[in-house]
Amino acid sequence: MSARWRVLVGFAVLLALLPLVVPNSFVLDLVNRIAINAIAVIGLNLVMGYAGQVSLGHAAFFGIGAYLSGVLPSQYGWPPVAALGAGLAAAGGLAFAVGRPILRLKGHYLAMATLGLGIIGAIVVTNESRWTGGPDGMPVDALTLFGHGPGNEKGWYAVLAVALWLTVWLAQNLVDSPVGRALRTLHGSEPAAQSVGIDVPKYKVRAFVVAAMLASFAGSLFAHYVGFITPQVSSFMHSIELVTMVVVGGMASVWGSVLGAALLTALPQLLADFEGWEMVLFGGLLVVTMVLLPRGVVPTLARRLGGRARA
Amino acid sequence: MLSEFLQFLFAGVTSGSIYALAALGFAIIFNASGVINFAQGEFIMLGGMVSVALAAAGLPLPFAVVASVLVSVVVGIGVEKGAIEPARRAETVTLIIITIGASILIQGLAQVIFGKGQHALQPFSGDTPILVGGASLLPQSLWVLGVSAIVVAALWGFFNRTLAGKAMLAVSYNRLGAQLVGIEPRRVWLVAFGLSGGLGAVAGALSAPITMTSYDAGLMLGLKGFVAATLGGLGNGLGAVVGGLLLGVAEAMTAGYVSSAYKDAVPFVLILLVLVFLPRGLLGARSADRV
Amino acid sequence: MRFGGVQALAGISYLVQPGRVQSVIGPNGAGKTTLFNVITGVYRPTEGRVLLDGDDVSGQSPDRLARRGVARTFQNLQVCLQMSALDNVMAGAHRHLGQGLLPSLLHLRATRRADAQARDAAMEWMRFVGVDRYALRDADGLPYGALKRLEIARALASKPRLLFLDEPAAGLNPTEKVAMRDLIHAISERGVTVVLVEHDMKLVMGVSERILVLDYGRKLAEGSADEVRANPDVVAAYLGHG
Ligand SMILES: Nc1ncnc2c1ncn2[C@@H]1O[C@H](COP(=O)(O)OP(=O)(O)OP(=O)(O)O)[C@@H](O)[C@H]1O
Ligand SMILES: [Mg+2]
Repeated sequence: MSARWRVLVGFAVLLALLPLVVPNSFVLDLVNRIAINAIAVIGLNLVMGYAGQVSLGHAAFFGIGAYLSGVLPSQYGWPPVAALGAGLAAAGGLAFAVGRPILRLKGHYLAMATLGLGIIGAIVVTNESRWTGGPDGMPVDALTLFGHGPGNEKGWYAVLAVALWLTVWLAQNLVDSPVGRALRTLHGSEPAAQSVGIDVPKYKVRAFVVAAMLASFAGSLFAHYVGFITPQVSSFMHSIELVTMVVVGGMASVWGSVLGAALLTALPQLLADFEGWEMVLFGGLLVVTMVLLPRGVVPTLARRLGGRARA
Repeated sequence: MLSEFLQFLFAGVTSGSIYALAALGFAIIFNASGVINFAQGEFIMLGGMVSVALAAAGLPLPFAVVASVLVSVVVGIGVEKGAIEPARRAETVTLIIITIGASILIQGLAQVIFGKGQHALQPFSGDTPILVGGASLLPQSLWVLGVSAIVVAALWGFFNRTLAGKAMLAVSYNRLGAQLVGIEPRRVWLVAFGLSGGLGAVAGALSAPITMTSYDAGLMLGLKGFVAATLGGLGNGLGAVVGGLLLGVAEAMTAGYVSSAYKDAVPFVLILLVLVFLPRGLLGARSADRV
Repeated sequence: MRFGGVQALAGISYLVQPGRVQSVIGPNGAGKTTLFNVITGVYRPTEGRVLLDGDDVSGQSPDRLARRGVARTFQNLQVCLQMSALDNVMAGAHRHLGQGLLPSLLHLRATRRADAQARDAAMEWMRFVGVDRYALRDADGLPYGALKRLEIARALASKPRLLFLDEPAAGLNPTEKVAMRDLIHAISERGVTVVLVEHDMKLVMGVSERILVLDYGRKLAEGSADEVRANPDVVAAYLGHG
C-alpha cells in the first residue's frame, strides 16, 4: 500500500472511531459542521493553494447550493437529491462562465473581482425574498432519498464522514496527477507553464469549477443539515471565513484545509463564553496566528518536524 | 425632471466623495507597501463612532471630530506596527487575512466600547436644506464636498511638493532604489497607515450625520472604497478620486431611476464589467508582462 | 515588434535551420529576448509574421506552440520554486500526459501509468543534464547553475523539435560553461534544433553553425562564426557599445 493510501485508510479509521469518543450531541453537531466546511475549504484550497488564484467570493457558490436545496424541494417539489445536483450544475456552470474573464486578472484585481461576484450573489439572495425569504432566511426540507434520511446527528455524521472522505480522496488524487501538477506549475510561473504546453486559462477554470462544485455541495449539505438558511451563507463574511480556513490550515495542503476548517469552526464556540469579546478575540487570534505561522499550521509544522509530509 | 436628476446627482457626489477618500486610503497604503488594507473601512467607522461618543460625552463637535481623527491615526499606526510589519514577508493572501483580522479586532473593540446601536452625529451646521435648481442640498453635503476637496488638494501638495511626500512615492516606484538614497521604507509604511487612518476618520466623521453609523458600518464602506480604488487603477491617486465619484453617482442614479434594493450591487457590477475589459482599471498602466 | 515608443525589433527575417545549433547575439537590449518571445508566442508581433512548417503562427499562444514542439528556457529563471525539482521536469512532459479532468480526479490506472512513465523519463532527463541528485529536493534553494539546467531538462521533457535557450550560460563559472557547451552539443546530437542567445562569445563560437547578430532591433549580420567575426559592422557594434 502506498503512503498515500495508508494515510487515507488511517483517516477512514479515524472517522469511523470518532463517534465513539464524542461525548455528546452538541460536540457531534460541531464535528458535522466542521465536515461540511472542510468540503468547501478543500475545494477553495485547490484554487488558492494549488493554482495560486485568490478567491474572495467563494460563499456565492456555497449559497447557490444552499438556496437551490432550500428553494427547489420546498417550492417546486424537487427531490432533494435532484436539487443538490442542480446546485452542482449551476455552481459549476457559473464558475465556468465567469472563470475565463475573471481568472485572467492578477493579484488584487482578481481579489476584487471575486469579491464583487460574491457580494452580488449575497445581494441577490437578500433581495429576491419571494423565493429566498430575504434577510429573514427560509426553512429547508429534510434530506431524503427514497423516503430515507439521515435523521439525527449520528445519521448525519455517517453521511458527512463519507462525503468528507470522498472529497479528501478526490482532492488528493487531483493534486497528485498531471492536472494537479499543471495547476502547481502555473502557480509557480505562468510563462513556464505555457512554455510546456499548459493552457493556463483552461486549467485555472478547471480548478475554479471543481472548487465551485465542492462549495455548492457543502452548501446543499449545510442547508439540509441545519434546516434553515439565511443570506449569511453567501455573505462576504462567509467567503472570508472560508479563505481564512484555507490560509490558517495551510495553503496547498489538503490536510491543512481539514484542520483549518476544524480550528475555525470550533473557535467561535470556544469563544462564546467570552460574551461580547468574541470578535476581539477572533480577530486578535487571527492576526497572531498569521504573523507567527504565515504559511499556515500544517505546512509550518511539517517543516518544523523536518518531515516531507507535503499533503 | 431636472430637479430630480440634480437631487440624485447631489446624493451621488456626496457619497462619491466619501468613497473617494476611502479609495485614497487604499491607494496610499497600496503604493507604500503593496498591501490591500481591508481594515480601511474600520477607520471610517472609527471617525463616525468616536465623534458620536465624544460629542455625546459633551465635547464640542469640532473637538470631537479632531479627536476621532487622531484616534484613527493612532489605530492606523497600531495596525501597521502590530500586524503588518511583523509579517512583511508573508504572501499577499496572508497579508489580506491579517488586515481582515485587524478589521475584525477593531470592529469587536468598537462593539464592546460603543455597543451595537445605530448612531447619528449632529450635522456640522444645521439641517435646513438649501434649494438649488429645485433640488435640495443638505448643508452637511457641502461640508463633505468642501472638506474632501481640501483633503485631496492637500494630499496632492504633499505628494508632489514636499520631500516627505516625494520620498513616499519613491518607495512605491522602486523600494530598493529608495533605500539606497536613504529613505527608510518602514517609516514610509508607518506614515502611510497613519495617513490612511486619518483620511478614513475624516470621511467617517463627515458622513456620520448623513448616513448614521454603527460598529459594523465600516465593512461596506471599506469594500466600496476598494472598488473605487480598483476602478481607477490600484495605486493611482487621481484614479481613486475619479473612481470614488463615479461610483457614488452610478449608485445614486441606480437607486433613483432603477431599483434602490440593488443600489449596493452597483459598485460590484461596475467593477466586474470594467475589469473584464480593462484588467488594470480605468487609469491603470497597460504594459505587457515581461519574461 | 514595438512596445509603445520602443521599436524592439524591425525588419528581421530569420530562418531557423533544422537540425543545427544556431545563435543570436547582440549587445544588451538588442532585442534577442524579444525575438524569442515573438517566435515562441509570448508577444504577438505588431508587424510581420512567424511561420512554423509553413503555417502562420504569429500571435498563437505559447502553449499551442509548445504543443507543436517548440520549447524554451528563460533568461530570468522561470522555475517553480514551491515544487520539487522532479515535479518541475515532469511538468515538461505535460503535453504527452492524459490531461482529462476526470481521469485525474479518479486516478484512473492509465493516468497513473502514464505519470509513472513520465517520472522515469523525467529522471532520465535530469540525469542527462546532470541534476538528478537534486530530484526530490524543493527547487527553492538549489544552486543557480542547477536551476539553469533544470529548466533545460524541463524543456527537453516536452520532447521538442525546436529548443530556444535564452542565455543558458549567464552566471555560470568557467567549468560550468564548458559543461554547458557539451550539453548543448549533446542535445543537438539527439536531433533537437537548438537556437541560443548568449553573451559568452567563446561558447557561441564553439557551438554554433550559424549566428544572427542583432543591434538596436535590427539584423546586423548573419552567417557562420568566421563570417560574423570578420564583419566590420559587428566589430563596430561590439566595440562601440558592447
Ligand atoms: N514587455 C516589454 N515592454 C516594453 N519594452 C520592452 C519589453 N520587452 C522588451 N522591451 C524593450 O525592448 C528592447 C529589447 O529588449 P530585449 O529584452 O529583447 O533585449 P536583449 O537583446 O534580450 O537584451 P539582454 O542581452 O540584456 O538580455 C529593450 O529596449 C527593452 O527595454
Ligand atoms: Mg535578453
